[in-house]
Amino acid sequence: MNGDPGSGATRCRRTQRWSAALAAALLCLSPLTAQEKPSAKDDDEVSKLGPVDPYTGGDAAAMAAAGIVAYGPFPWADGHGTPDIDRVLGERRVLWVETAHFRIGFSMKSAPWPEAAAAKKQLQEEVKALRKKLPKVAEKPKKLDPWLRLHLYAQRCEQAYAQFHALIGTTDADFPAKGTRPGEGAYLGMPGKFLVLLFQKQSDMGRYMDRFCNMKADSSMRFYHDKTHSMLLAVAAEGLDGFDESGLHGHFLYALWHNLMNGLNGFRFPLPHWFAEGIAHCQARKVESDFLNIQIRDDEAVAEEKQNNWPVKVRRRAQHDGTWFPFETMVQWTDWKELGYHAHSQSWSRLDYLLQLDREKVGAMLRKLKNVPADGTFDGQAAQLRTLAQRLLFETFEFDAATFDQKWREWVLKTYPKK
Amino acid sequence: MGPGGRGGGIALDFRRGKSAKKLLEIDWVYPVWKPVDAPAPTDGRTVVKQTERALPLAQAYELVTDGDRRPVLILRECERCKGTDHAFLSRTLDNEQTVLLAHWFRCVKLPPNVLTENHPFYNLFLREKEGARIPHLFFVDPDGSNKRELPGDQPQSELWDVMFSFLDRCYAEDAKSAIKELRKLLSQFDKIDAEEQLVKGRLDKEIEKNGPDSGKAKSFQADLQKLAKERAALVEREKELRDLALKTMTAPAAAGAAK
Repeated sequence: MNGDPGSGATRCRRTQRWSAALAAALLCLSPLTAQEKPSAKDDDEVSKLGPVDPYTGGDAAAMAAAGIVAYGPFPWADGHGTPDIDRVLGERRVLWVETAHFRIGFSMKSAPWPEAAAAKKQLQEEVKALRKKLPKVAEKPKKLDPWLRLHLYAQRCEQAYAQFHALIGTTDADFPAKGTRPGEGAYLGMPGKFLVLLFQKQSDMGRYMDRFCNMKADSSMRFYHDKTHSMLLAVAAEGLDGFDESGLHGHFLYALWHNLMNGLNGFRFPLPHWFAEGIAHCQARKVESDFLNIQIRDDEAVAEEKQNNWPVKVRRRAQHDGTWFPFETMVQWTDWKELGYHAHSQSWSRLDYLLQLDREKVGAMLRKLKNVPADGTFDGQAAQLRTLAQRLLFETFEFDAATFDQKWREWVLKTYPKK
Repeated sequence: MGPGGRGGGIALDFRRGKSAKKLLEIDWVYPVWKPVDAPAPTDGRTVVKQTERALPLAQAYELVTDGDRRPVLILRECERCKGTDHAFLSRTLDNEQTVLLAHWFRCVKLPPNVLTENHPFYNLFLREKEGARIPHLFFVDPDGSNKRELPGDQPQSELWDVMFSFLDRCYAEDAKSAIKELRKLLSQFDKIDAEEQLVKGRLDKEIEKNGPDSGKAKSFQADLQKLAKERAALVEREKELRDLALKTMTAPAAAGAAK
């Protein structure tokens, strides 16, 4: 395994490394509780509900309206199906749905509405949109029950997929199924649908990851199933201590966009960190939430106040020399774990700038980066991709590194608020 | 304060800081059985595939301990109870001591379906007498000996008694005095965390205001270096306290049939 850097296992390790750091970041930012306390809720909410979706009742027309292609059981990844997962985790503990581009497993319990008014309003809009497709959804449900949450996540998955298509200027017609190898599949080039596992319990996620991915992870993980070529996102709510529904939504979008970018034309080499992180954060930050998908490194000084107000924080750094990352430094970032608060927030800001300059050009850059023929070395190709990203930036935006720095700073100082 | 005035003062914050919180996490493991497929025959014969079945007790212990020589806590998740962890952690009492003690055990969580007959770990929770209550958790040596079952609704004192009995027998040094010191250490970590966050906040604001080369920023950085040294000493002390020196015990696979 170690001797074959181009193998799926190597790619999986890379995914693990990103995600392990991600999980640590989330934990360190979650509100502090006095100590570990057991859950007071019943563990069997999902199994009590049963596998029949109360919002469609299994009716074909209602399912079609909601974008549901199938309920479990169905094949999952690398030769195992949802019954195999149920056998390991326990029967009826996971709700399974399939949409046009995703297969989703869900075992999170009911959640209350988020407390912040802006987050609540945003979620209300999502429920309203869902209700147009599924009239059985209450106008103002008291709580978000597991089936309702699952429908919301299915809607979010397909919405993100459509937005991703829009960014790169493609439709499903651009990805006809031609074969079983990466780049030949119908799902942005991947032969397998994108997979999402949203667990309540860390133990369930830990068992899935160990049994079916051969790795230890129980909070948040992106994984590449390299036999069926499908990208998995697995999250356990219990591991994201203190996150409300909006916090989870933001984290989910951040990780899902990484999977969509990685999956485009096959997961064959890593994208430059500044670019991929910037795009993922731009999407995640559309969700109204106080929770951040970043890691504050031990050696970083970040005041707790305004931690989530990235425009202000980035602007205050951009006004002084030596407190922001020059682009020449950003392109050399190779280790995800080394990226801290300022690296993430400034990557976000770079992409915020480029996207408002010309969204289509950013999409074209991403497409061109992922069109590079793979040489089979995975990490070995990272340097080539970093150089190519610089060249594309010059060709599409006419920015060399110094010009990009200068224009970005001018824009930040003009656009972002002082406080 | 005059009559009729509103009560005042600063609310006391009893929450643990990030370092203590990290030390108060239980490192649960969630072992799973994985089928090992025989190599595919080249002459067209049928492939042999292992099927899931209840493992013999010795194999079950071998799998859940995975070479770990510490005594083992095995907890089964339950869908009928008020939250699985309730069997081990109190919802109303202080759990710090329980969690700190748990660090000297291999902490294993098994799924609710462990009670179904073909589950690989079924034999770990096999009812030992007809009509006996199936325990929620038990402590055991890695080879399956010295099993001590608990129902899940036991008082915290009983839980601690069982835990200390294992620690006294399995470790060379005294867990009771180590626990006392570790709890003091948690408060010291809290103090350092709070001081560090305060200085970091000030440093961040100073850099945002006057750039990284201001005199104040350099002074804050020096303060942080001093705190880092204090933290390193605490980390070292914590490591010493944690090391109770495990006594030599039987290898996990050697005595599988023990109950």
